[in-house]
Formats: sequence, C-alpha cells, structure tokens
Amino acid sequence: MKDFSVILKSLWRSKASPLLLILQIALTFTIFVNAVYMVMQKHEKVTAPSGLNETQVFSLFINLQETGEARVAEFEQVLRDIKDLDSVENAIPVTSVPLSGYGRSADIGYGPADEDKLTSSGYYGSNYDSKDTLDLKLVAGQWFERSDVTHSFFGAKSGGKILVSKALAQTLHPDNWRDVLGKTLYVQGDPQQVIGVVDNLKAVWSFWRLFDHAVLSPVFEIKDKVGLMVRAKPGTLDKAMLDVKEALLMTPGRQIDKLKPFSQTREESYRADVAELQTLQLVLVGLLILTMLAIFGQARFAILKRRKQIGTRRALGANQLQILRYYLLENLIVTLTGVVIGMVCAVLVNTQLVSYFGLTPVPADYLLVGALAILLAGQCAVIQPAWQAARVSPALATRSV
Amino acid sequence: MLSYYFKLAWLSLRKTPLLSVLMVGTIALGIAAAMVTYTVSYMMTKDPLPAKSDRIFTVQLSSWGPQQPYKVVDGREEIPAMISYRDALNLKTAAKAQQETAIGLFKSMSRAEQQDRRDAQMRMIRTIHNDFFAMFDVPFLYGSAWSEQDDSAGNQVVVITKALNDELFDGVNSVGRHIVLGESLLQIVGVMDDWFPIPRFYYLSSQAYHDPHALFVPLQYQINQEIFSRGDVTWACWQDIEDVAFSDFITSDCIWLFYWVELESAKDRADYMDFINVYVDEQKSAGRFARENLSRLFTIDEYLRWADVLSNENDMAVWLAFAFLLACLLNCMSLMMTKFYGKGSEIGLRRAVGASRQDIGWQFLCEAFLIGILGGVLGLVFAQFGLQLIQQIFTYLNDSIMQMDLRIMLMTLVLSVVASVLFGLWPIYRATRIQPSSQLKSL
Repeated sequence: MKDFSVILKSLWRSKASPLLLILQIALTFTIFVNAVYMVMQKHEKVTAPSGLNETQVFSLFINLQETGEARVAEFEQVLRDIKDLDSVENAIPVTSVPLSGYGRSADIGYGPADEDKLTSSGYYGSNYDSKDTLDLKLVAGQWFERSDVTHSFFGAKSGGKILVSKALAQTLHPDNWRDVLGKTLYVQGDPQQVIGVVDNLKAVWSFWRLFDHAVLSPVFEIKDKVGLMVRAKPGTLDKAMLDVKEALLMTPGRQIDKLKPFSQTREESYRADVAELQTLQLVLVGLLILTMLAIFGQARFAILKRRKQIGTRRALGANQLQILRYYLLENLIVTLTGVVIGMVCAVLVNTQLVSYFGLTPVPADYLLVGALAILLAGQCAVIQPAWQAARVSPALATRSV
Repeated sequence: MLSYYFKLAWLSLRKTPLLSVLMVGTIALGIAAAMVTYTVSYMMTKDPLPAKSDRIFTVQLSSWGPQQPYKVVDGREEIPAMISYRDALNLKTAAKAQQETAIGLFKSMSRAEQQDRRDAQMRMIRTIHNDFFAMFDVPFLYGSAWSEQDDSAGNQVVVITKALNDELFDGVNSVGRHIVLGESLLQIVGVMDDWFPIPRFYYLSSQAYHDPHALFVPLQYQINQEIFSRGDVTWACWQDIEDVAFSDFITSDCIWLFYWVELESAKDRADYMDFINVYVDEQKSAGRFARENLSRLFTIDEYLRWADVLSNENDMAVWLAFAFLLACLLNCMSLMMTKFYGKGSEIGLRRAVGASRQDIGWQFLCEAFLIGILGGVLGLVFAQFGLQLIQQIFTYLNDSIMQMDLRIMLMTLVLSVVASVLFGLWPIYRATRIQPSSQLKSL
C-alpha cells in the first residue's frame, strides 16, 4: 500500500491527462448507468406478457352489409360460420384489438359527473366466449353469464356488468384491489357493476401511461365495420387464417382488413420501442469501446513517458509484479475517482429525468454494477501496457543516466 | 519532399501497428456515428421536389363552422390542412392554376383480374386528378397518366406502382390489364417507375416516411362509386353527419381532401392568393365560411414545418453524434500524443542532423493526414454497416433515407481528414518542442 501515496503524488504532478480521463470516465458512467437503466426498462416493457394467448389468436376486421337488426343476424352468422371451421377453436366479436393502436378509452370513476373521474381505461366490448378465446385469467369474482351478453350500436348500456383488469382495480383501491368487486363503476358516465377482475388485460396503445387499465363488457357492437378475434386449434394458426379468409370471401362484397396474428399486432405495437432499444444498445457499446480505448491510450502514454523511471525502479530492486501492481493501482485510482464523480452526476441527471419524463429512479444496484463494470473495463484496458512496463529492462535506466 | 514525408508517415504507422489501428479505429468509430445520424437527418429533411419547391402550394381554407374554431394552438385559431369535396370541385373548375389536384384516400379489397377472390387484399387507394403525375414529376415505367376525360367522367382506370406491378404481374407491362377493386373492374393505364418522395409531403404528415400507396384512381371514380372509408381515413366535420347519404356528405363542409396547385412561377403566389380570397368572399356571401378568413397557401417546406415533419428531434441526434465524434477525436489526440512522444529520440536525431521545427511539423502533419484518410475510409465502411443496421431496425421506413449519396461520402472523408489534422495540431506542436539534446542523450 506504500505505492498509494506515491501514485497520488505523481498524478498530482502531471494533472492534465489523468484529469481528462477522469472526466471522460465520469461522463461515460453518467450516460452508461442511465442508458442501461432505460434499456432494462424498455426491455421489460417490450417483453411483458399481454395477458392473451399470443400464439394461437389472430384478429381481423370485416364489413357488415346489412342494416338494422338484420346486421346483428349477419354478424352472428359470420361468427357461427367461423366457429364451424375445423381449424378454429373459438371466435369472438371485439370492439378493438388489444395493443393494436386503434381503440377507445373510457373515463372511470365512482360517479357520473366529470369531477368524479378517477382515472381512464381502455374499453373492450365482446361476448361470453372472450375468456376461452383469449385465455383470460380471472383472479377474483366471476365471469359473465351467457344471458348478460347483449349488443349495441355504440358503447355499453347503463346498468350492465363489467370485468376490470387487476391494474385498474389496484389504481382504484391501492390498499386492497379486491374491494372493487361488487362496486358500481361509472364507465364513460354510465353505471356498471364490477363482477370480476382479470389478471392482465392491456389497452390498445402501448405508449399510454394507463396501458394496463382495461374494462371488458359483455356488449358487442354492430357497426358497418366490426372486429373479430379468433383462436385457432393448436398448431393451425396459418391454416385457420386462410380458412377464415376463404369462408368470409364466399359472400360477395365482403371486405377483410387487418387480418393478422396477434404476435404481429404485438410486434408492430412495440416497433418504435424495439428500435429505440436497439439504438440505445448500439450507443452503449460504442461508448464502452471508446472509454476502454481512452484508458488504454492514456495508460500507454503514461508508461512510455516513464520508461526511464521504471527502469530506475527495476534497477533499484522492484520486481515485475510490483511494477504491474503499481500501474493497475494507478488505473484503479483514476477510474474510481471518475466513477465517484460519475455516480454523483448520474444521480443528478437521473433525478432530472425522473422529474421531467416521469421515469422511475435508478435503483442503487445499477450504480454498483455499473461502477464495477467500468472499473473492470479499466483494469482490462490497462493490463497490456502495464505488462509492457513491467518488462522494461533495468538496463534502460542505467544507460541514459 | 511531401512524398518522402508520406513515406515516413506510412513507415511510422506500420512500426506501431496496435497504436495505429487504435487511432484509425477511434476516428472511424466517431466519423461513422456522426455520418450515420447526419445521413438519416439529411435524407429525411431534404427537398422532395427541388425543381418546383417554390411554385407548388397546398391550399388551406377557413371553411370551418361558426360555433368554434377547428383547433386552437397557442391561443391562436388554426385552420385544417384539408378541404371539402365541394371546395376542391370549385377550385378545380375555376382552373386558375397551371396544374392542380385534389388528393383523397379510401380503402378497398383489391386483386389482379387473374387472381382468385381469396387472394384479394385490403389496400389503401389514392384518389387524385391526373395533374398529380405531371405536377409531382412521377416517372412512368409503362403507359402514362389517365386523360382529362377519364378525370371528369371518373372512368374505371388505375395507375399502379412498380412494386405492385412486380407483385401482381411479375414486372411485365401490365397496361391494358385489369385490377378488381371491390366488385368493379379497373383498367391499368400506367405503371409508375420507382418513386419515393421523401418526405411524402402531399398528404398527412403522420406517415411522411412511408412509401406511396400502390394504387391511384381518379377522384371522380370514388365519387361515382360512393365509397368513403369512414373508419380508415382522416376526415372531420363541424356539422352532424351521422347517417347521412353519400350525396349529402360530399356536398357538406366535411373536410377530407388535400389540394395542391402548381403555379407558373413563384411570383404568381400573390395572384393565386388573391383568387382564393375572392373565392372565400364569394362563399361568405353564399352563407358559408362563417369564420374569419385565415385561408393560406403553403409551399412544401412551409407545410412540412407547420405539420412538424421537419422537427428538431433529428437535430438533437446529430448533435449527440457529433459530441461522440468530439470525444473520439479527443481520444485520438491523446493517442497521437503517446505516439509522437514515443518518437522523441527520432525527432531529436532528425533535429540534430539539421531538420527544422517546420520540417518536423510537416512530417507529423502528413502522418495525421494519413490517419485521417484511413479513418475516413474505415469510417465509411462502418457507416455502411451502421446504415444497414438501422435499416433492419426501422424496417417500416423507406430505405432511401438510410443511404449515403456521393456528396455525403466525400463529406465524410473531408471531415475525417480535417478533424484528424485539427486535433493533431496540439500533439504535433508538442512534438516540435522536443529538445534534441535531451533526447540524444538516451540513444
């Protein structure tokens, strides 16, 4: 440890280049920790389960050509036709497809007035079969009865039953989300009775703050253009999609739109996030390489400058290991100083990010792991020059004195 | 002399291969990052129609209803970018511009005549006047635009893109063959060659970097067929039009069309604006256009800025990338410092046998220049990889915003050389200050 004070002294005597390095490390650390954290959060977001069966379900939109009550019959016939297909397990009408980017949000509150609004939520209307078709998991309360299912031309009627997602229940009752059961909730101003809670159901916009909030009602809508979600028998997704298309196009004037597997809907929904994620990762790799290069260059410079000094030390009896240890320690001190400054900056930057963009603060273990990673990178970068330094022959010193 | 210095520089680079690779690599990394972001930003914001950008305008009218403004932005009333069919028809009939076209959109099942009903696909169909093709310099591979007569009668004709022609007809000349839209048969009159205006300026800003839609038909065809894809296109009304007949919808003030005019020269802008103002006054006296007249003409650039397509977000990425380049250059500077310091004895020797400080300076400048060139070339290679990578990340955007043109490639090399020489100056200055005596001692 006697090297320690010597190193400090020698660093103090030529401040410029170690100082630059310290600043660069601090800057790298600041960006690194925040970016890694953003990457992890994004990664978590794009890999989070959607709550649906993602491998067997696909969705599509079709036009309905009849008007009035005949249109209801037409829609129900379409559903029956699809369910009759061999490759199809079940099919439901939907007002919109989760994660698809197209759909509706509803104001949620315990009263009809604007000031009663507590939060917002995605809204879906479907029928009794939605549980089986989408593989929804009921965590409290009960499912709809078949007799609860009705249709409308827009939205749910007052006084119906609804299911809510667990996240919405937690927002409404942070202490005990089960309290939501049996309550009369106003959905877009209409009173509805909450009869159950679904474990996980997302709204349609993945970028929405309240993406986890969803309300499911047993009221499907009859418009000139309607949505369907279909569950294929295991392993027959592609065939089921073709079969459905073929069956539907038997009707002249039938239009089919946005026929795609749910996995594709999901992928498109997170496309911007994934792009951002990959770009961030590229930046991180570039930054890390650059910092390692900087440490390497600086260490080499410092050693070249002190060849004679090293020779002298070797001549005075220092062995190779001691020289190696000296430079590793020197690098450790410089990097550590950079990391400590960087930690302060990272926390400062992060608090700004938190207050401006509503991000969650970086957990302490990110700072620690980040610090370790940079220290390790520094040591790796310095090994080669330090090893060269250790091999400086003592003769070098004697020759030039 | 200079060639001798370059030879020396080359030898010196080869003598310390690791250090040379690091220097060149560092510069290349920074240059690549900077040029990739610059390329994307440059390509995204370049003028899509340079030959006509000052004499092509989109018309925006104050046609909104009396109750409330269409939109309020920063406390000021905004008018919509789109106009109603009624106004588009009036402007087209007045024919005050050299060329003019309304631009609409609908969605329909579509297939080639030889395809099975099951192979039909839902596609967006662009509806326009035939002036569209000449105005926007659309190149044709086969056939041509449809005639004036097709326009006014709304004949069943269609122009398709090269991509669709490749998909449906294997790229052969398909003029005269047919496309089935919904239940009706449309004759192909033209096949466009590659045409990717970037940004795609002529319609909504939200998809400015997507490829043009594959099918173009006369606007009057859409009107004749009474097609309006309520749920799939952008439109707005200030009147209540729930369940109105199509004929009532198109005579209403509902907006759903863009309108573009080409004037003979930029000077005619004021005249055309006068015509628009007169038109607005006429409509006012007929009981329409109840709001204050905020009607205006926008050039492509003005429209894109107004619609926030040319945002500052790209600029920020470019700034960040250039900051990264700066960090790389500082790194390279410290590496050069190392390099030249290590050559202390050589410098001492050369100085002792008569080389002046300038000579030493020139020699190392050549070395910095060489590093810059090599860094630039490697940077170009890295940048191509970077752009490839970006293309894979942003598959939904048009590829041509991720390609370098010759100008940018040259710029890359120049930037690399200038940067490395500039950041070499300090190490070179330090090198020329080395005292011959102090170094010679140690030889």
